[in-house]
Amino acid sequence: MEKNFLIPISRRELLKLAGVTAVGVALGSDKNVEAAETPKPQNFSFNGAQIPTLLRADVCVCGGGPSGTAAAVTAARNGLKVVLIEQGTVLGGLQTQGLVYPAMPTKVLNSDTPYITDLNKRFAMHGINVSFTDDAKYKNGGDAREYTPELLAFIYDELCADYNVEVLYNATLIGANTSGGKISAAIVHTVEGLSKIEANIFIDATGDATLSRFAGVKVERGSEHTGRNQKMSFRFEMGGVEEMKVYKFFVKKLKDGWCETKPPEFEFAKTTHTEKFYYEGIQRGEVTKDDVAYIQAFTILGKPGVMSMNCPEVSPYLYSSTSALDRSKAIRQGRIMIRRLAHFFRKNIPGFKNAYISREASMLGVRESWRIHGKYYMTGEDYFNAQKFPDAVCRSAYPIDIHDEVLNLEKKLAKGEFYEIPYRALITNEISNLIVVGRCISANFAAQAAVRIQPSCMSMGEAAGIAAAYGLKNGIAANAVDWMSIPNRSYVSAG
Amino acid sequence: MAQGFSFPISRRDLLKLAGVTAAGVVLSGSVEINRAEAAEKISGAAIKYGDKKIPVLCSVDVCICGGGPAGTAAAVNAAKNGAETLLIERGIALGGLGVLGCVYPFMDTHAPNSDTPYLVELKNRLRAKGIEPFDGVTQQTWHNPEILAEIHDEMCAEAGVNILYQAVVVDSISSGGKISAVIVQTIAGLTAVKAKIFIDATGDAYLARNAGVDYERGYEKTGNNQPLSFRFEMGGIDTEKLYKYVAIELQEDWCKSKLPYFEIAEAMHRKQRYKLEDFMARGVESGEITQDEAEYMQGYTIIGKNGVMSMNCPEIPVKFSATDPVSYSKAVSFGRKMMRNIARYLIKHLPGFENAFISREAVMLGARESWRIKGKYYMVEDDYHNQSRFPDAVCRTAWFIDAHGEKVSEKLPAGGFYEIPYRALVTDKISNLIVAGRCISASFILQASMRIQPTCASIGEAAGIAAAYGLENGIAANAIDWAKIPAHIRSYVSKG
Repeated sequence: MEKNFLIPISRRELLKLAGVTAVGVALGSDKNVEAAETPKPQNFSFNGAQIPTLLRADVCVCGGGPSGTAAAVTAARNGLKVVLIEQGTVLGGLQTQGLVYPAMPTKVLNSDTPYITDLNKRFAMHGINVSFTDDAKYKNGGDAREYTPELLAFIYDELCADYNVEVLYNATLIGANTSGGKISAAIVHTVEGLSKIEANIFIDATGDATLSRFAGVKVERGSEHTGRNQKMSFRFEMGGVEEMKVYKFFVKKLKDGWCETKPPEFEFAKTTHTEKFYYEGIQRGEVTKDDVAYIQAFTILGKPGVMSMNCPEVSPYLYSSTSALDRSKAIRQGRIMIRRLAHFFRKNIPGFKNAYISREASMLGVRESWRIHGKYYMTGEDYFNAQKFPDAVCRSAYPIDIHDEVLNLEKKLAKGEFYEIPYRALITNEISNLIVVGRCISANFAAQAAVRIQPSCMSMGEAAGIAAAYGLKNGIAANAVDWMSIPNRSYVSAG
Repeated sequence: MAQGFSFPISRRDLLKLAGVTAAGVVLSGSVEINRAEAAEKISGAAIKYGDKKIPVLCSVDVCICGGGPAGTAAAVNAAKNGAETLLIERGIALGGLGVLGCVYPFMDTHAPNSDTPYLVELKNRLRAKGIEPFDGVTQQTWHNPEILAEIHDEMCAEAGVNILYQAVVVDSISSGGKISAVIVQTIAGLTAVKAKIFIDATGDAYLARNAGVDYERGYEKTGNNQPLSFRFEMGGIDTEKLYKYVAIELQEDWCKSKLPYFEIAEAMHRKQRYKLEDFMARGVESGEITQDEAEYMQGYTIIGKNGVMSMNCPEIPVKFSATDPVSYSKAVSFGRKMMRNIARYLIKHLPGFENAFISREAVMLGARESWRIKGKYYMVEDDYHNQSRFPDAVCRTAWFIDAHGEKVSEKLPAGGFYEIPYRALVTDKISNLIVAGRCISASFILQASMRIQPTCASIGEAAGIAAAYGLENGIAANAIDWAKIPAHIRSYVSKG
């Protein structure tokens, strides 16, 4: 766990400085290790061979978020037997459990890989056109994608059923058996107890690089400059909203031109035109500065009268996404902030008079936590240079989006420019049968702030599924697969 | 900020201790106090676990595993009674099935004066937030899941409960008939929590099973667990229109209360004939829904969420098991499909549902029964029918034997009830373990009656009180005589 920690002031160093040890770090000292206690008599002690094997597959995908689901479905589509391990009872991760809606836009044309095109078609079959607007005259929105959370959950189940992905819901990854630079089994906790999932290839789609950390892959976390992780959000939805009244208030009364579309596709945010409205709330004591540090709300297609709130954000100074205790405390703090915001909206925005909290996210909105250090390490320069790679798996022009007052980088690519993500950022030198997808790929803090959005995560997952199948069929280790030699690859570099 | 969380080991405290200030951090409070706390509470120890050494997160008096109705009540009451308490919850909200599972409202114990002080307080807090739980007729508790989550956080903060969210209890270490630590998977990896007393409020008796306690699962006659449900909420409902159709046009008198406390229900193959049975049967005939989907349908208005109903369905066929992880997983996808079919059918045909939509899915399946421990006292069906009383009773109930698919009993006569003894919460095997919630020591049939949320909360409340009392008086948790705890400390005193 946490080898080669790269942040200048690491937690461990802090602990040393403080003269205390422990909590959240693997300790090097034997002094404090307690004598082994008598092994207990039950049948599921966590110690390699004693744990029964629950499932065996070609590929085991850990984590059923946007990238993990894409990886599992695509690997299965390419003929592999796939087990997908999900902690909750719904696929989609931040999209469904985290209420992160809509999916942010890549801000570049032709970024949709086949998996995304297929997903969007499935939405259309249910009567939802996920594209915010295709009209070029709207500068805002672009190709943000409106994946209604409950419908997405259903479609993901359908996709997995169609391609025979074995989804293991309600299962938590708690370890890995590793030997000779390969993972042989993932250890999972289920209602029944502990068990092993054996596979030839493992895909780490945990978002927190959990499997990679268990397997001893080099990881880092937070900003190289401040040591802080990106801010976490605790999202929620409000029902009973009269959307036209909200629209009139912001667009007509406050004259905010931020959103150029009208209900049923409408959003409001804290902008230069509306910040006064929120500051007055602070002055009246209704909200705090932290509560309104970032405010954004979107209508949800298929859920009339419900808005998805892209807030509150908890302070990155106080709550780190890589500390178990901080995350716990952030939940309590976020829940308090949600109530204050809901009250503020009800009181001050016409159209929210009868609104209520209809749903809280069931996972925190973590933007960044741990990141692996893989074969290729993406940096902010790759963004600024609009870098192309022969082994690219997708493209994006989403900016370096750091929610931190000190580190916000304003520079953006010119219109039409984009960068690519190489397959080598998904694999490591340490573990030959591991592919890492989603927000925890090999990238520095700045690069990760650009690659972390849902469409990019989905495209990475898709590529991992294809690469896993190609590698297994051709006897090539996952971390030796040459993406350029795969005939049916989901993305071909523009470089 | 973050009141009630007395862990000294946060990043912020570390920064303070280290004398390092991160840009923008406003330092306040006493470093000396933090240092003292740190010295006392951070064991600095690692623990040997399998072939690994893992850090000890903390050592507390009482560690509660599971933050559902029972676990939250246990934590709040242990802390209120002076114990240093850690509550471990795998999700990010307390309330378990009541919040994460959308199980709404709390069923009615049907027993007079069954509310223990914790429940009285819970209801008062709901009222203070504008949610009146009493519908004027029944003793069901109409709440609001989001407000309940908020209240649970507040009660924990006020009582000084430390909550560890997003953490899963995966294993335990025990010797000499005592659990010394539980192994917990957090986002940062595996860690150990040491405690003097452990309360198993996992619902699945996970910790008890892990520590070697005897257990049973399912119905001894069929081997089946109770059916799982996958609950959900629908928004955009015109409840006035629905009420007019169901209560006036169809003359369904099942729901005794009036809007905003309104319920629709239908269950096939029961003695009770519901007016909506024909409505659902027509869907089966037309092929729009399956017989499984039509078998049970129920919906309740949610107080404070206008136009939203909590759907007590679909009920997933019993071939899916609550105790088999693969079967459980398949039940999720199967249930989600049933949910969509039921929703589509209601939207298309039920007046008032024309503009409705699925507004929220539960984030855990509604498991009514999975594993049950075998404790010092084993409750059986006769305890229900005989209206058993126990000197060490922790609460009372008269909720009927509600074994979906297997058995539905006659209700006890008005005013009748049975009690639940403290001995059903403790075991001979592990001296420092108390089990609370649906997985206490009871037969399948009796469990079908005691499993409802208010009863689970009262059991948890007693567990918390007993844990603190035992610690203070040096009595092992499984040797406590509840009847000997001074009456003013006990949450419930048997009237014999």
